[in-house]
Amino acid sequence: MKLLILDTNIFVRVILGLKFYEKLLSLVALGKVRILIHTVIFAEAFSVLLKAKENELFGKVDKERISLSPQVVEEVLEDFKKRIVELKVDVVVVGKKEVEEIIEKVKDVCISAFDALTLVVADKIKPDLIVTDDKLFKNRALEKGYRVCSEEELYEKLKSLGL
Amino acid sequence: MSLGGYEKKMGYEVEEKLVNNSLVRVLKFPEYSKEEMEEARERLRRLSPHVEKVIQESKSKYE
Repeated sequence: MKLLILDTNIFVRVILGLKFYEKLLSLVALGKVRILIHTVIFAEAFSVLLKAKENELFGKVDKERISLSPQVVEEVLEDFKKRIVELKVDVVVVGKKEVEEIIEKVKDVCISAFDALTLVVADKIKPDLIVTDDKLFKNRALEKGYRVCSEEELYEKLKSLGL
Repeated sequence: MSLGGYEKKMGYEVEEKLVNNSLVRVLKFPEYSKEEMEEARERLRRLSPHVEKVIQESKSKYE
């Protein structure tokens, strides 16, 4: 079993079940891969889904006001949660301790606070791979010895992990 | 497992779990039927083109 941390955009695409991720999803179904995120990625992915829902219903995201009714927001959240359960995703809770470690990580790796938090979680759970579509995050984390890859490199890396 | 008032503030239940030999706190979700999960998957799949628009817009904002 290999443990993967997925960055927000990658995670959302996996949740949607895009064709590119069918192989990854079959590895998840076989129990050969386990997906892990943290609560801030969870919240960010939810916000992407809500903006997408606004786009679907109203054509564009209204920058001035929220267009979605509380009921639609709740429906999107429920669908998101059902998919997380279906894929057996672990959502690690970010607590005070992890937040306190962000500044040191930013100082060390010179990345965004969001990405630094992902590395703080990675320090704790030691994933086999972090997948991101953010080049700066990828390159700087690689420099610090983290196992990180881009979306394009995913299957090549999984192969190197014996999958 | 209850972890004080934390889960109440978050609105979610939290449980402790061993992941890669490390004890972490993870969100605990309700159980759903296979049909409920399939329907959710289909509804989310229909959002795909809109999700890509949102992701691309968000990327262009920072580039």
